[in-house]
Amino acid sequence: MAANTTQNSMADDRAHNPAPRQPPALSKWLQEKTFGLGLINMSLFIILNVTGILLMFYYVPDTDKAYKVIKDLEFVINFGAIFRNMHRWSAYAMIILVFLHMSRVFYMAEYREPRELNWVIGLVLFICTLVAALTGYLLPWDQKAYWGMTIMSNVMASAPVIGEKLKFVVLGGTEIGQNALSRAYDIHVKLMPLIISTLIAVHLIRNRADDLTANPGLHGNAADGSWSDIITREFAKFLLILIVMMGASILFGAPLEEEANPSVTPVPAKAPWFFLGLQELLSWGAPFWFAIVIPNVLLLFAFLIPFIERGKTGAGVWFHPSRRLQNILFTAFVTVAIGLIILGAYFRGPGWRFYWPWQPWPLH
Amino acid sequence: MNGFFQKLFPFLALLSFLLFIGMVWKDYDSPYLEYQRKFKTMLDLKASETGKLKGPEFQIGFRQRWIRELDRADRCETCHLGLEDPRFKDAPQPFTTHPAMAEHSYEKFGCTVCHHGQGMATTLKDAHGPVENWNSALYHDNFMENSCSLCHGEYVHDQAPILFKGQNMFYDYGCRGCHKVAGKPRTLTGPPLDEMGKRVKADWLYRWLKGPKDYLPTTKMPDHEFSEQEAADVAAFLLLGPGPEGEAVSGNAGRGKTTLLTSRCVTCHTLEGKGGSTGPELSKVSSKAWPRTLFKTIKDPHALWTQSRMPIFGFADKDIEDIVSFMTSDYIDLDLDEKEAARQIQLVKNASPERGRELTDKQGCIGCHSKIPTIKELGEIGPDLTTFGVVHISLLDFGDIKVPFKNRTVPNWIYNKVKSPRIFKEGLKMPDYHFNAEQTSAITTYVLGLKGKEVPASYTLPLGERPTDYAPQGAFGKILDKYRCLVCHKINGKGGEVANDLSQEGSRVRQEWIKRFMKAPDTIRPLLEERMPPFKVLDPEDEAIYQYCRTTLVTDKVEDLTETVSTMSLNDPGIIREGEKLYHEKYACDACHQIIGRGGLVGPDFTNEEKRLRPEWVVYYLHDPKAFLKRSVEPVYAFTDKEIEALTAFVISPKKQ
Repeated sequence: MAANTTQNSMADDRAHNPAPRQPPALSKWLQEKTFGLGLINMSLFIILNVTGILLMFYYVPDTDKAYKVIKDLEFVINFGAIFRNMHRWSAYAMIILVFLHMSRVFYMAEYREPRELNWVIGLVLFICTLVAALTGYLLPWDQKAYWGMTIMSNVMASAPVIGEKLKFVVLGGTEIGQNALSRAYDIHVKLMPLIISTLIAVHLIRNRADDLTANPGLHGNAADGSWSDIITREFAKFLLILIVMMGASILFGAPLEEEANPSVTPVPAKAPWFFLGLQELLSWGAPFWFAIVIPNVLLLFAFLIPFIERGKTGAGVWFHPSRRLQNILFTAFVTVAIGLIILGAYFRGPGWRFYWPWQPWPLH
Repeated sequence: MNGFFQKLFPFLALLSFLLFIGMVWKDYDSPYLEYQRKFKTMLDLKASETGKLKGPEFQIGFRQRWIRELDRADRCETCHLGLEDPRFKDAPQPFTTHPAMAEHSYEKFGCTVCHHGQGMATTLKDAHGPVENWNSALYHDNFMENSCSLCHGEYVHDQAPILFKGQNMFYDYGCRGCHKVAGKPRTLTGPPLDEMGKRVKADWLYRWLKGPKDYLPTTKMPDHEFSEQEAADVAAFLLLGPGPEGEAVSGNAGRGKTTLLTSRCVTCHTLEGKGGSTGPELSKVSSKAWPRTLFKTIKDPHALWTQSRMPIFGFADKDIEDIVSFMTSDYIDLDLDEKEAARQIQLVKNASPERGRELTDKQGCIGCHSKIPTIKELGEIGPDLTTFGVVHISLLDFGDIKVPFKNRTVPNWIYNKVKSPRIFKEGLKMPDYHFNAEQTSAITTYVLGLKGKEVPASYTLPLGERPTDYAPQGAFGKILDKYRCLVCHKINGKGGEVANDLSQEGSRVRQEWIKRFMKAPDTIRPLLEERMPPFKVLDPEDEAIYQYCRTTLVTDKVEDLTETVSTMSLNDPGIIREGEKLYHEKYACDACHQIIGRGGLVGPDFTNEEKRLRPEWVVYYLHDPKAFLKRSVEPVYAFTDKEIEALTAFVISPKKQ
């Protein structure tokens, strides 16, 4: 919905400012596409809520029982495995697609006045998605969960002065145990859904309001057709997402490793993939710089983008020539971020040393 | 564009509905259903055999047994439906009845505590394994017995012979010398290695290090796979120090040969292809040891090696010189090439003792051998095996060998490691014992049983005989030690299996006989290769033996029969004749027993039994032969009291030609 209205406003924008403009280098096809990423993300959020509530019926946030419940879901509970698959794949898809949505907004420079606040809200939504994914990652209480969380809490602990305290507060202790699981569970099933749904509402309302601010002449949805058309169209897109998710869940099982065991360390222990870039970065040098300063400065910078970059041209289309510097910088950031994740996922072995994917790892 | 999605809507709706059906189908279509349907048919079939129209009601669905104490939920019964039903004894899997259900009820034990695998899983592959992300795959039948040790301990002789064998081998072969197992003492299995220069020849030591099994196929010394240079280095290191004390002893080889043969050395040593395996083969011993060492070994083997199993015979020095002289001339390696031996001596002479010392240290020789000069007591250089049975597969490196995923299991890794210790990688240290498949399975089974996991007390039920710490003190203790009686005999659960159990000897035989037999043992069981060696038992010793037997090695079951026996008329010639008749005719005892050269060879000779056995014993034994010796082959007849009296009277009567 967000995307469509935006697209609509752009059309209007052009009508009001018919200044001649160089067509972008990429094909015309791409020019004003928004791909409906906002709607897709909301569809995923709905799927996650529905499957999540169903999983909640069985799940027990108890270190003795959690893993067994997941095994039950896998092997004996009707639809257990399939809903768990859907929940897992939808969550991963959402992380990727929220990021793509953000990138799309950046490339089209739609964070500019009057949408500064909505950009900030969107960024908070992205962070919330990551937090929800991370807390959900711990719930199956398998090795992957336990050691992924161990890495994350160690990253936290590397913060200066408050690091250890922060880790203590987040885990509810000095190591990952029942307290950490309880906290992760509450954040995952109560706090995050509440915050995310509230923010999505604000995100949508502001989007609409900002459209009107930017284009005072805009009335109704003339170009979109009637309400029933809109609903059919958006519902069709929702169905498409659902189909993809159901298909993936039938074909691919969500991973479940062995039960969490503090005495068997996987070699090497890796963070959840969406934080793998951070772990990779951490291995480069002093934790203070690489785990705390760099990511936080980048984050702060991301929040401040709409207040720093206040240009007037090039909004509403992909890769506008007048925004070459911004686009190059952003593309570089995205490439490095993805590169770090790939490096961490496929090129790191025991001791976080470099290995080619086909190179065997020494075990001892 | 807008129209596109609207047109697509019905199609998308249909597709999502179809996928939903797909989800339902995938969820419903579990492989266990097919087994349950098949089982239901089988139940109906069984019912119709007994004349009923329909079998008992059968509910399709998952079956789970939750064993609270063991913290396990096993769903194996979902497919293994005939587990507890004896009618399915010969049914194909997965319906076969469990062979040991009577002792191991499904109710109390479930399946995975013994069999491993993933009890919670309900598909064949996940449940049996090996699968990614589940460490314990179902145990192969070969290694199944390892689980017995969880509740029953390691000494389960009859019910878990493979485990028992593995357990014994583990300590006999000195595995414990390098590998720590908590709660188990280290066993020094090899001789001390001090003063090797005095004891063995340089070329022999070189060949021995190069391939111990080439010289002595039954040795427990593993092959360290030394290169020529390495073997020479180690030999050079061990030979540092004083050399041999003379190259010959003076003696009469002919007399020596007679002494050697009459001393029944073959009971323990193999000589010219015949003999026991308690001690090493001796046919080539003079190519190995210097004569003075042989002399010292025969005179007092315990002085050289406190754990030696060889008894002190008590020969006069002259006799020993004769024996050694015979051994020096006859027991040599005839295949040995003089030139090759000279080359080997030269090789050792030129080798580097320092490198040899490093190798000795690195290979952990001190794990089995004591008194290696300049090497400190360390040992235990291998990994700790206390909980190796439940080691995580990700910690085991299959290294260079290509193993398909389905064989990447802990038992398989241990098996390969024991079978061929350096198979995975170059440069591994563990030596090769050249075990055959059966031995390897036994050791693997034992190591798999080392789980270090305790089951609830209500589950433990030790089976089998634990080794006792029987160790008498005083005069008898010294005699046991000097003659190493327990190498062959067993007393109160401790000792060897070569000769008979002496725990009740005092109740069994007469005083005069013990004394006479100790001085000059004669043949009791003609069939046996192993004979009691003629030790030179001193005068106070036989008295001490007798005293100990009569006071301690007795059983009330026999002693309490004295009154009964006193009422029997064992000297009555009529009863003796009656017994003789029973002996020859009704029970045909002569099929196995011999009297004055006539009869079978299986049982003891009865010619002189009047001097040997006590009548109480004969009565007791005839009542129940198995009570004395479980593996006795004596048939159990239900003799009447009258018959027992007659047979006893006959057996202990003096026999006439």
